[in-house]
Amino acid sequence: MLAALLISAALAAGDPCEAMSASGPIVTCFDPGNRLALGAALAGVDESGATSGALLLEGGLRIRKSRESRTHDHTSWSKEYDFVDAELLHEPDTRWQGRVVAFDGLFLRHLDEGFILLPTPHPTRLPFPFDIAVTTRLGTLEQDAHGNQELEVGRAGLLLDIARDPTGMSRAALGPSLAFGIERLVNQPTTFLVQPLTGGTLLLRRESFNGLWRAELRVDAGWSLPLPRGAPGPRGRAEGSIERVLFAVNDEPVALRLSATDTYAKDVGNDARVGLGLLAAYDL
Amino acid sequence: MCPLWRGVAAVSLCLTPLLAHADEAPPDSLPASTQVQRQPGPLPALDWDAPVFCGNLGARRVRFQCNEVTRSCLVADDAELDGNGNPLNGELSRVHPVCPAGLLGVERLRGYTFTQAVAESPPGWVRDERNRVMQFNFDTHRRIWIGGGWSPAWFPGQGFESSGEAEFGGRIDFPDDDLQNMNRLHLLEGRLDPGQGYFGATALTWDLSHVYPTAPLRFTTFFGKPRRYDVTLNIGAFVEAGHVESFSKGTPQTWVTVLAAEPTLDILRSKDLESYLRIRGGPALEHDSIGSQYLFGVEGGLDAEDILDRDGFHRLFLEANVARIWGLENSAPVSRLQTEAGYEVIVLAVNDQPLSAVFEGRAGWRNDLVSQPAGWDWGGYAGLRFSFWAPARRNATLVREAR
Repeated sequence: MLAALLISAALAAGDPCEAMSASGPIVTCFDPGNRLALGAALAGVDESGATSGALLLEGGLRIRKSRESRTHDHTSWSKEYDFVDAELLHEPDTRWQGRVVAFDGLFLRHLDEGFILLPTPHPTRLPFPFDIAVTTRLGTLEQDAHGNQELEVGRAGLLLDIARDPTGMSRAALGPSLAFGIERLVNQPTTFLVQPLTGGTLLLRRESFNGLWRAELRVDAGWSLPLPRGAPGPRGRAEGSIERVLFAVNDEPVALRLSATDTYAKDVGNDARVGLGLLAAYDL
Repeated sequence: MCPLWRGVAAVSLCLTPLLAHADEAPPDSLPASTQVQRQPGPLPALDWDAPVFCGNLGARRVRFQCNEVTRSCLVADDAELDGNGNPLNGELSRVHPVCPAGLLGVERLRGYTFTQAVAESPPGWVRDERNRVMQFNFDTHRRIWIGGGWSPAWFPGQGFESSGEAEFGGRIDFPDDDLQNMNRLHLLEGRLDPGQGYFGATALTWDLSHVYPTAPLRFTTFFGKPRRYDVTLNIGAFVEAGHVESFSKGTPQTWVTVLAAEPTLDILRSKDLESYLRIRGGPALEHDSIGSQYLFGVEGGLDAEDILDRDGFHRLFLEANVARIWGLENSAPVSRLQTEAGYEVIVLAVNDQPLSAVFEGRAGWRNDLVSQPAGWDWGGYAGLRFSFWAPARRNATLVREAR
């Protein structure tokens, strides 16, 4: 009864996220920032020049929240969490490969009118057209088809976001980052990898107001220092995706997802893959 | 005061001293001079849903039902009649147990017409002109039955065989109050064919049909204007426990389905959930007497039942079971297909217990018997079935005239 009243009230108020059909109300908006997702796709893989087809499975839990600051006016905080963000790739006649990120968080402070205060005898406020964000990524485990493994224990970055969107539907952030990881290549001794603020993170995102469209690009790249031995070299990863909700089952969205990833490491080479498939989500 | 009854506008028959003064009749009697007319055609019946009162018409005990609007009364004997129309001793069966004594006041009776009728009977029952009640509507989903008949069959490696078969079973279907669920219980259903050395029975089968108030699955598309498509999935449940099949010809062998639990999907069904067509499938635990071992398998089936008429005289049924069982030592997986389809028609009733004729066709394929090569078997059954209990169906109607 309460739900019916709420739906009626929403319809009466012209809720853009509700539509009415002969069979009943329809939910027309989704929140890609708060969902439990699981997807399957066909992928094309290029490993150091050798191409093949593969089955790609993706999934993870994502939570996004924002709130007004309790201590400062015109200030709000946005938080984004990804838990167990995983992708598994299976090529015929090879072992499973994939990547799992245990935790990925972004904490952003948004000012309605950003500024920098110059502590001169007469303090001066200069306009500052960025939000400031901190990104942290913990426990990234990756294994390729040859059995090479890497555990990135942690990565942290300080980002400047020019999109200045406290809702998180838009991001255009860039900033330096540092990372520490452990690499174990087949038949080679374990190596520690350090990026002492010699890396950077780029984050671009755009979602439609109703959540039917979502596009995102993230690049983590930098100069890694292998320890205790080895020569420093470039290392990076770029991942992008575009999603379009095609239909919903019991008001839970199913999207067509095109994703692409490129990974480069000096001592391993370049791996890339492109996947196209369906992603089913449970909106939280 | 005479109570007025809503809906039927019946006039109660109230005790009144005035009548006694008028015709010197007992207080609860109609005057002997009262003219009771007989209308052409079948005698009307008192209405089961309206209040009935009892009194005397001269020396005869009668049941009354009066209508204040039409100023008429139906009058029926309160006893069965013999061939000459004389009341027999004994009380009427299948009438309202409460029949208060009463009579209209003289002034109110004046101007009323009285029509001969038969006593009231509950839904699914009817009376003849001698006031004898009989059941004409039978619920074959609530009964215990035994039967027997002719059972020809053809088996691979054995050829044609003709024998007699005995069958038995019990069934209780019970819906909940708002008909959201229909539970069906089958108890000790089976058949025995000594000529073919076959005994098959199931200790208990329970299945459930559920009515979902809203579609459990709905799709919304977002190409252009959002559109919603509801998918009605009538999901239910099916559990079978203690299904035994025993073969005594050649090497004795017994298969027991210890437990099978299967979700069901009703593809078609009637509003009252009495008729249905459904598919089902799920895991099963089986026991084989040859290897004396428990085995896991997958079972499924297609079941259908249709009550063709309102009174439950004609029934069509179909049952198809498939099973695949793994784990037999030194043997490929067992496969089994058993189908039977038939028609049952009630021929007559003895003491209101129906006797029906059953015609059935059977076909199957199996490779789980030691004494029989893998292959198709064919069979049939024609016999009589006597059912106990079989009350009137829940949707049985009232009959308002004698038959």
